[in-house]
Amino acid sequence: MTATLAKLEDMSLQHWLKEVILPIKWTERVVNNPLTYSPERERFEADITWFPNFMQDGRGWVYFEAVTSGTCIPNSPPTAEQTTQVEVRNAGGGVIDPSNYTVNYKDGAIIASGGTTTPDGVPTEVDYSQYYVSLLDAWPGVDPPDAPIIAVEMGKYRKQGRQLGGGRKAIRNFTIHIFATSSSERDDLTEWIYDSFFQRHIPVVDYRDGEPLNYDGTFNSSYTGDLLTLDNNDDALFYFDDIRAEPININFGEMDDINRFRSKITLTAFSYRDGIDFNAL
Amino acid sequence: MAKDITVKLELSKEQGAQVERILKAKLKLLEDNIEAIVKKEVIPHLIDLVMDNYDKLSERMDMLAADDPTNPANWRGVFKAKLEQEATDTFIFDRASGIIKVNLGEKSFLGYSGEDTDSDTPLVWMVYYIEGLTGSYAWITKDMWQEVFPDGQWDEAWGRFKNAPGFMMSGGDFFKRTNRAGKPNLFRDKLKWTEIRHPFSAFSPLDIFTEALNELNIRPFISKAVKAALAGKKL
Repeated sequence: MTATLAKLEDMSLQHWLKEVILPIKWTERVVNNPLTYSPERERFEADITWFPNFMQDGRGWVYFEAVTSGTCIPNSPPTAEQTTQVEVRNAGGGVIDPSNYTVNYKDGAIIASGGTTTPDGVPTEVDYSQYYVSLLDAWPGVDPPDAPIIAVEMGKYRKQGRQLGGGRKAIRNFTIHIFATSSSERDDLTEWIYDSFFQRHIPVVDYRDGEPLNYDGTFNSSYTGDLLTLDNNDDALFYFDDIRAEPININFGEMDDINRFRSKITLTAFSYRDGIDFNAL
Repeated sequence: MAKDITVKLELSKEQGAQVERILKAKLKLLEDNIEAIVKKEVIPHLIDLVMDNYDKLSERMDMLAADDPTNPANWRGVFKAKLEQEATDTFIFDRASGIIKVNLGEKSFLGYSGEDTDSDTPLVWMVYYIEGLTGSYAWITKDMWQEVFPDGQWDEAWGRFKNAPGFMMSGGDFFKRTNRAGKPNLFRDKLKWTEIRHPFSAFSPLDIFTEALNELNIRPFISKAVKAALAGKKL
């Protein structure tokens, strides 16, 4: 399948928000959560005890180690599966070795190596970090998950030639829609996301061999997180400019509503590429 | 283009004063022409571009009843007149700095402010269309409400139009509502949500102003004003 720079840049921006920016402050630690075995799905499922529900679109469990604030270096997005975010225990409180189970990060479930048990015992409890904010790759639509939500939309884009030599500059417009549960949360989340773009750039990751999570929610063990290398052997980079944040006050009278505490961030992102061929990579 | 070229002319005092008068007159003519073309051509063109984008809402309008107060087709003329009035009222040409300013689409009349407005300014509904509305909503009229909640609880203050025949409500909120006795509403027995669901609910934003600005190319208009001034013609 053809992959274009537009696709990989859009994906890189979303993954960067999900895997680097949100885990710094916008996840919740859940401990001692009971696990219940589901014979239909052949897995141990965590009870949904905290809201918003981690099973909702754009949430799930955190699958990388959180990047410590201050070390958010653009050229080092996480690549290896977490080792400290999820801990599974047996009935006696003993920790089950991670090699004896697989985590389904999308659904919040544990797949035991022995089906209904593991060499370290039957999984009964789990600790994990769940995404408090739902990150969506499009406008939320008819049936949105609970707030808070961040929806990333790539809008119009254009390209222009460089002033000297071959090559092109791609200029892409993004809108990030924010839906919060209160005005204070909206303000916090908006400035947090704003600052994550301001005077920054990110590397474009080569997702042609897959994303960190498989379609079934388990970690993609062959994921390397290699950066995309362009024709000139430079890493592909994605720069941000003209970032604007704006609260949107939509009045619903006395009604409590998902549209009540909103804002949007608009920005221009641009990248450079040598050559005059088609944009297929 | 060459810049900062200094030309020294040997002229008498009278000739110098005459040249200065000619240059001042030419400059004034240029400024007058620019002001005239912005007022007569650029702003109407920009308003037309906004209206072109406004009409892109039409695919959504088609699903609304003609007499629905939330139907933007009903406010097209009012909306355009409002933009033209704004353009007239807010036009500023600062000749010292050469800056022209005009405000179109002031946010309070588009419904961004938190206050309700009276029923003859339905343009407050525009905010939902410009910024998008996620989720599922319906335009609930008093008749519908009383069908589902026969025991009343209709509040005239609901909604954004004073004395409006209805208001917008989310499906989730509507289903959660109970009657006076605390019983669930009878919605599912009385009405189908899909039948009353507002066609604009869940639609993504359509910023008709930004789109219009992106499409505006002012250069040909300014060139026309400059050419006319060079030819000594007043626009």
